[in-house]
Amino acid sequence: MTTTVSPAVAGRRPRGVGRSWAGPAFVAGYVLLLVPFGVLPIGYAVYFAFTDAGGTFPGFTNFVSTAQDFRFVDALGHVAAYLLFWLVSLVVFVVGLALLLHRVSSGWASQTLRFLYYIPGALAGAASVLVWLFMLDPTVSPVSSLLGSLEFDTFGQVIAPGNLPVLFAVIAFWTGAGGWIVVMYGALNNIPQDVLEAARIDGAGAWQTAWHVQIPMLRK
Amino acid sequence: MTVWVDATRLAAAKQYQELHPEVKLDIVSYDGDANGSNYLQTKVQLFNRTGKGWPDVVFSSQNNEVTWAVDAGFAAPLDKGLVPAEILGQFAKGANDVCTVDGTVYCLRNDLSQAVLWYNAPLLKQFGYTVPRTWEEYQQLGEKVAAEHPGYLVGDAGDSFTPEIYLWASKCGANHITGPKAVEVNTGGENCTKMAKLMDGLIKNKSMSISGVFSTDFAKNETDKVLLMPGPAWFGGAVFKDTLKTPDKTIGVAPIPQWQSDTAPATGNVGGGTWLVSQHSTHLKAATDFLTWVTTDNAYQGEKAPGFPAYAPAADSWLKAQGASGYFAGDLGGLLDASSQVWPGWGSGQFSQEAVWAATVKPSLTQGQTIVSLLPAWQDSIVKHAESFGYKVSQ
Repeated sequence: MTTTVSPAVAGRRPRGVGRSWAGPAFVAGYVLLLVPFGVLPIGYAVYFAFTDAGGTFPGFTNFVSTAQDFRFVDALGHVAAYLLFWLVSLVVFVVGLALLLHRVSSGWASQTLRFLYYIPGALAGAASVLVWLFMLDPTVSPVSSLLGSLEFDTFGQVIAPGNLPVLFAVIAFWTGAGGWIVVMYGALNNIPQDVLEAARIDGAGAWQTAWHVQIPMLRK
Repeated sequence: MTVWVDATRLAAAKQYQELHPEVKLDIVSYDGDANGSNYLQTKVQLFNRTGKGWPDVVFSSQNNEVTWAVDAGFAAPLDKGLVPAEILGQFAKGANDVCTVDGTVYCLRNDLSQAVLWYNAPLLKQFGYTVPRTWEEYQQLGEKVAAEHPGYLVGDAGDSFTPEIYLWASKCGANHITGPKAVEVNTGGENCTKMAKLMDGLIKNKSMSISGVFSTDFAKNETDKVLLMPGPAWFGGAVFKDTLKTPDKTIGVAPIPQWQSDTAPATGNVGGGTWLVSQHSTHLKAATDFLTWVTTDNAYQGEKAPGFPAYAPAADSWLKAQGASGYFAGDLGGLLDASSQVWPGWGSGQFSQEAVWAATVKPSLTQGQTIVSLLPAWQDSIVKHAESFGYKVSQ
């Protein structure tokens, strides 16, 4: 994250108004927390991975015994399925929702929507899980009729092991997408108005503008 | 002094603090390793590496903690000068077997969880039924209930501890621990199949639910439908009184049914937590004092404990207190009898039978498969879990 953020900030500096220390100052807070809560734990985990209970170095023994565990292949498959569902849904829906948001012309509605999208991300992880435990239990869920129409009558049926990768992807999308929608919305706002104007004059509809102009420019 | 407890035992730690205000107690609540979670073990492994952080006293709702806690250098030996022999000697017979490694006691049992048959006395009377004494009668009653009073239940098979109630009581050889790292697993024996068949029949006619007694589904739909319920001693407080809020003078206790062909009574056991003291504790005396109080003192075990105390003198007081409270219909003598009838052929290995059942059998049961058809998969899963812990498995 830092490596992508810092050059962007540095690159913007010559353009003008910001003073030279403004960029690093903004990033400093993040870096300050990233080192103790991000970088060091990763290093610690790597150290643990290569030591045994006695603290000696057993080479790759830990990895070999993990890979040989009877649950390993299944677990790997579940993680892969989760990643697939999550990444695809994240990319498609975030871009789609950001495009829709960008088309909302009323400032008030746009602000409200951005706020609503962002709320789930503001909840702590444990709270989000509790919300979803509630949502997915047909006995108490406000959308129990929807669950019922999918032939889920009990909580046990909903959380059957085969459904879990999809459920986790849905939960992860719900908690994480809001921030990305706001980021994408910001990126869409950076596309010069005259380009969109030109597209409109050339007769491009909403769909064509999104597909041929906005999404390609987002990728840059 | 740091004490780790589960939500239920929080009251015990708080009561100790009230009675001993001079002790500086840091009470931490955790999941109590319920349903076979490895929380305590994982944390102790981490503390072993960092060299600090161990709790001084810890409660676990599992009976198998010493299988790793001794090797990990965590559990302190209790019968070598910490807890006097006269106290250890007054625990119910066999209660601390799960705490004993090579003849040394490393934990104290909190409560016994012998399975009994709970029943709704007024409802049984209203329907004109009698409490079944054999599994054959139990099955017939289940069929009768399904026909005459559909919707009412004679049991539940939806929890991760379901096998410890029914299959353990039926002497199913799924978990015969034969040595410190050896287990014999055979889920195909007659004692397993005949109980599985009985359960399948009752699940099919819906007189046995598969929701699980703590599920929201059960609380909402089945609360007043419980006619009979095989379950451990702690069902009385934790399920009927606290979760289902069954009214006073309703729930009674009978011995768990036996197979007609069996001569000696046998029952199952669902947990019954254990208390451990850390070897690393710098307050070993205070920790031992807490441990002794919490497992033996009448102020908690005799009067407040939700389950049947493992310490026999406290169990006597507990039975009297329960009788005097007027909550149960009839006396709780059935619990006392059952406390010495737990079938010893089912052990406490390092792998969790509850986790195995929850991962292997329960999801398929929810999808409509029968227990009989799942017995081979259950066996396979137990074997794999046992082997992953380094057990030598004979089948």
